[in-house]
Amino acid sequence: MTTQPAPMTRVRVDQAKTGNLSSLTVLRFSGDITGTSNDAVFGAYRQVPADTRKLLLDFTKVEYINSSGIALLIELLMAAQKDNRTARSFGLSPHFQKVFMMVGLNQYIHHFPDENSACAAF
Amino acid sequence: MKKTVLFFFLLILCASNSLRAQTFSLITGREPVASLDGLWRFHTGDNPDWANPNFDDSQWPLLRSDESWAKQGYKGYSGYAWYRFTVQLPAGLDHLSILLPPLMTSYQVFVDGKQVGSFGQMPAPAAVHVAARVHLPLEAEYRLNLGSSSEPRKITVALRVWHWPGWSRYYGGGPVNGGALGGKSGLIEARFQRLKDSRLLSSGGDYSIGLFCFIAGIMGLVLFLVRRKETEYFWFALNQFADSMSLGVTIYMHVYAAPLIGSDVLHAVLLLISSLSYMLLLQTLLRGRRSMLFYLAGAAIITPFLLFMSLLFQSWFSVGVVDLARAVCMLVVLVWVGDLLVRRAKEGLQDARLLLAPVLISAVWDPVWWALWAFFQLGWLTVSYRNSTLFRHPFPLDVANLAEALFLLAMLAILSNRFMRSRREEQRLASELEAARGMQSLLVPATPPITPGFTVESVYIPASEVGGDFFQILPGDDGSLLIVVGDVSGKGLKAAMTVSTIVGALRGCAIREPAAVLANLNRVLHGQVSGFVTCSAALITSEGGMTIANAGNLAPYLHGKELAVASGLPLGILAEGSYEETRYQLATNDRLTFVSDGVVEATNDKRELFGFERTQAISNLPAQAIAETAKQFGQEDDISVVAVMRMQEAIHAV
Repeated sequence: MTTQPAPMTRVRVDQAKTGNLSSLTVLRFSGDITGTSNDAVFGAYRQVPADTRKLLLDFTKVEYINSSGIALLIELLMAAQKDNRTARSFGLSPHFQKVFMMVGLNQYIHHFPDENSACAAF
Repeated sequence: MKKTVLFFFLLILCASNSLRAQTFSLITGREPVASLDGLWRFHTGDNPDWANPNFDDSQWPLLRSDESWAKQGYKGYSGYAWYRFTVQLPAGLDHLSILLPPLMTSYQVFVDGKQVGSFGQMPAPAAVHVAARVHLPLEAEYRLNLGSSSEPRKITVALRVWHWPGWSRYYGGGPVNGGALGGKSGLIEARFQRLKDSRLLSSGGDYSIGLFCFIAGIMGLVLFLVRRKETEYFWFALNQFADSMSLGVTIYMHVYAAPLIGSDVLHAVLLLISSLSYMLLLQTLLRGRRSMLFYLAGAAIITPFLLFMSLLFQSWFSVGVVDLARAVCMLVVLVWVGDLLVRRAKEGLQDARLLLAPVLISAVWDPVWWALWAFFQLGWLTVSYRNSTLFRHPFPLDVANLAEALFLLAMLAILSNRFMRSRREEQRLASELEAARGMQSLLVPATPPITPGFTVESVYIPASEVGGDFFQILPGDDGSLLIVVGDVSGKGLKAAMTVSTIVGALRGCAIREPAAVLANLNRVLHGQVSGFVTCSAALITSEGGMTIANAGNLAPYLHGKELAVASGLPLGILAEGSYEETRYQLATNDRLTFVSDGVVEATNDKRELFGFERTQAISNLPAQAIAETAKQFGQEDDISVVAVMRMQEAIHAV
């Protein structure tokens, strides 16, 4: 049996509304997030409108994040903090919720079970 | 001997020209051979009686046999027409060969009222004209057995011709040039063969380029088989094979009377494959984005093919309209390829600069050629500019051949250069990997140091690429033991260098309080590493008191349960990091197990993670067993396991 190839990282940039109907940008990740995802992750982040202050990360379609992928997400959240943006996330599997907590990412991003509750919390 | 025969053949041809009448004689001359250049009876319309040798055609006008009827007063005429001429045969001649010139568009040949040959269908379906719009009908040879006769006799040859209305505007009907006829001398056969040889020679440009393309295709395929990940080799090989085969089909159609529809459809499919693979090759080679323009260019390649195929079944558009659409679509491809090439060339990409001339010559010339041809077909131009021959000797070479040859040369230079570059890079990486492995073997202790009061097991299984796992077991003079385990993000020599910095900082520093150890490492690493380092530090006193601090690393397991340990951000991210300490009391035989993320992130064939639960379930096993279990599950990263057991008297938890 051969190992299935790792799915390539894709990031879609969407606009949505928060609980109080102000706009926010959603980065919808899919595939694996690894050390090779740099262009996809930061390419998408560069597409976020400059005036966006609320950022929502959708991990629903993410299957795997390795340690280099975690490093990328830390960099992303650092960049968001530097740009005065508040970040929320949803859709992480319990395994990666634990990894997020372990590496201290929960100091920078609050995780929610679904998109509605994440949007409502902004 | 051959020269003598040819001399007489030419002499006979010259002599026969002077006859200029609708009766051709085989009686004169030493060889029964005569040219059919002369005057043939001609009549428009269709009547089966006109094949009859006894039909009186004396009132029919006479037309030259080496020019179309369009040039002789019947411009624009299409549909059926008949030609008739008679042939005087010498006594004893029992075989006759007729070499007919190309006749537009299809025809039947009758000798004394009996059909002896044909070319194409009468009338031909539209599809044939689509297929044959570039490749015209060829000369054909018909051999007849007449039966012997002791007396000279006369036979009547009648040609029933049908000319396609779609062509009549720019191609005249009837013969394109004169033919010949002869007895059993083999001269006609020799002339027919010579015609084929001359057509083959005139395909010399296509033939040579086709051969080069095939060799280049093999080279591309070999390179792709050696480096499967570098898809540009695959697209190059596919493009070259498709080009080579399409040129082969073109030559075959030009030299032999190939079935026009089948050959032309095959030709169109090969051109489609060639164009798409060419586009993907340039996109991969020049790192082009798959933008809207890229997809438009793809659609512009597929559209003419679909229009062409639709012509085979429906006559929604004329051939001229389809060819004009093809020219417009080629302009879209030109915009995409021009934009990509010029941009990359300006950015200093050597490959783009090398490809600039050959790609742009072809990309500009193709739409111009097709547009001129479409204008002529649509009647907007009265002269056809199809001929793009640059020079004729030793064989004709046109602009497309030149562009293809230049493209091939540029691509061979680029691909061989890329291959050599990749090889050098591979060698560099291999030596870097070796250096990193060597460095890591020095930094990660192969056997644990002597630790009075503690039993330490450690296992390190590197992944195929050198990772950044590290651990240090540092016994203190006071009987305490400092354990530092961690993982540097990233791989290779860079990660190994970071590990060496960490190990150096740990060994050269007297600090043993875990939070201070981490804070010190953070200061050393901040600004020095591009990624980050996860790390745990645990200090166990000789009495079993354990203080642990964690910077994003996996918490250790105690007796098969994960310890609750406060975690901070990994090292190297913030300039000033502070880490919370957690305290535990270890009893005698208490076993503390640290694992790296290579255990938790081991992934099987179904892309399932080994995960936290499985790790916890095996955390009480010997270090070697834990590492082996994770490895068997599917190793993705370095696997490190450090297990520490307190051997002295039991001390109760604080």
